[in-house]
Amino acid sequence: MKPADQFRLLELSERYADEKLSAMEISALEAELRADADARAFFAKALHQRAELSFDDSWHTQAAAEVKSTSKPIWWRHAITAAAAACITFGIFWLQSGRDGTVATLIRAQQCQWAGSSLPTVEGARLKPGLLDLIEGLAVLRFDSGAELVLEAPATVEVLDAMNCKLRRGTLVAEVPPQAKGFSIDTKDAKVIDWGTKFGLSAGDDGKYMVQVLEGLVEVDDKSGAATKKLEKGGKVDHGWSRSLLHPTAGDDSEPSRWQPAAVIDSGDGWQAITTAFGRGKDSYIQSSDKTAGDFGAHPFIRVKRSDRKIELNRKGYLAFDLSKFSGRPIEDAELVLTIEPSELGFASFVPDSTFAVYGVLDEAEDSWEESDLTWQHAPAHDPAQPQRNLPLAAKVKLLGKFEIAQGINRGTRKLRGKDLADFIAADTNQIATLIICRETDETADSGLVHAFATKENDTRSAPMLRVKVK
Amino acid sequence: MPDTDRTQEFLELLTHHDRALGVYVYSMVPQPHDADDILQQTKMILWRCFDQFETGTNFLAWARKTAFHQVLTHRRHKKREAMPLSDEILELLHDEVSRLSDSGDRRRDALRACVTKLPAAHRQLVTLRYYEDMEIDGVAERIRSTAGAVYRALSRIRMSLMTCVEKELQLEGAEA
Repeated sequence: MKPADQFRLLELSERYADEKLSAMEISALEAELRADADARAFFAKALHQRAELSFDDSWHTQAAAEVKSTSKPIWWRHAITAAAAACITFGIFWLQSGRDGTVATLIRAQQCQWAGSSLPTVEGARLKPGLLDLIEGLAVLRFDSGAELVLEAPATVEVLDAMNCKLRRGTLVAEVPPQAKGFSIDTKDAKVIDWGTKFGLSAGDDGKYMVQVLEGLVEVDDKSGAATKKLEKGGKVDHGWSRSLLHPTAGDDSEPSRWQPAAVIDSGDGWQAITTAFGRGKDSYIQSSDKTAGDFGAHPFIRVKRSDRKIELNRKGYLAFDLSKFSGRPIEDAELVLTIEPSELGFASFVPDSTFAVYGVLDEAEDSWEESDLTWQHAPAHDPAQPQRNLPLAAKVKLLGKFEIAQGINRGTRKLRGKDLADFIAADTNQIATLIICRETDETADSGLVHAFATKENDTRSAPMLRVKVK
Repeated sequence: MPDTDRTQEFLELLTHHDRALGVYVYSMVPQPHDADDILQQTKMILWRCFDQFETGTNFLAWARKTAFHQVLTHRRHKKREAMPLSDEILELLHDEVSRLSDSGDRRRDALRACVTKLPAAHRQLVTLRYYEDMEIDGVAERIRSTAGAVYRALSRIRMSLMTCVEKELQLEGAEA
């Protein structure tokens, strides 16, 4: 058994004891314990050790006696102060690092694919200075100073030491707690020094960069010799990263969420990407029940489900992309990218590997739906009384393609690319296109998982994205 | 009703295996409050059914089996939202935990030795969590960290304790 798996099971056992596991985590754990004898033996060992520690105090009495005789005359637990607590924190960080030259831990690797990284890329791996090259997925690094970086693929990061790293290209979000003040991230043309905060940073190997502060204070040192800039919450420096004219319409800045990629990204090779956050873009879903409220448009996800057992639980997702940027330009290829949102609803055990279908709405008059009034009673390519509740009305749509999500997968992205999608986008005449996301796979028992995908309202995952290749 | 000698015998057996039985139940049901209820219930049943126990057979195994049925009964009565593991998985875990429970005293001694070897900061964290029974959020607040970081730190520490215990047990085996 790999150390990373052992580590994961230990953490699960602890959260299991606290009754903090979600229904999905429980069912995934059940499946693992049933199928894997090693995992079972290890999990039992973890529970047994936990029980030994919490059932009686013999271990503590002995440990305390030894500490008493060698160092402090008063056992600390009787008189712990805030200052001492701070020292403990420091001690833990200090003890974890240094000895073997490691400076950070890869604490999460979701659906990750790595390129030629010089460092280990399994979850839980301790990292020495070196290079990490993330092609797909989301990875979280925790430096021993306490700073945490969320890498969003594609991204290349060089780990230098507990207080320094270099973003060669890509996007990351940094969260720097007070004890790691001064943590710095280098890019080709700028150095960003963090004074206890949360910020997003994008950088290219051509020197372009963008910093957006979500909380706290950040110092941006442009290497061209320009004066150092201090950025506060909401502040942003965009050094050629995104073309200003391609920015989304001014949003509500009073609620800064985690930094998302710009609404239009030009990757330079003819491919341009827009999200539903751009322009007149929108995303919402409908549910086959009269009782549901009509405020799904504000949710950070769309929910998608087929249930032939409980017809009121069928759900369909609606996306609309603002195509005005591509108006009048020949479209060669197109790709839809959806980010899976972990769903708290239902059990993954009751939903097998699932197929999803993406449809394009043919009647352009129906593109004018609003997030605020999209309901089961009123939606494009849809009849409230239709017998096949998980699908759109066949005559009003064109099937653009299908994708799969394996059972139990609740993270990652799904891509749909092809001629049908490109043709549909190219055929648009009103600069907006509506897509419908449906699940074809039924649940095998009641209370099956409801799949979800992030929307533009999501604070942590990317909004639905349409990538288009123009000639 | 058992006679005086049987009473004496029962008390001796129960006292001798008290910790092993307790650790077993705590392994199967990690919430101390529930575990204590189950333990109490189990001990009453053991006493009531003691005339079915054959002197000379494995008292601990019998007690664990009785406790396991109490665990299942308890789980069935518990609120559904608690989302316990299924009976089937619990039975598989019962087999594994029973095996560990049989080497109880040696494990306890090894764990004691290993806890004393922990760096002070790690030992303090273990104490806050398991000796003072603090909730994760409380521990996080005390050491000015986050719940996630505390879970990770505890897992790391417990991993090193496990490695240490296995080493101690092997050493002991080699010497014996």
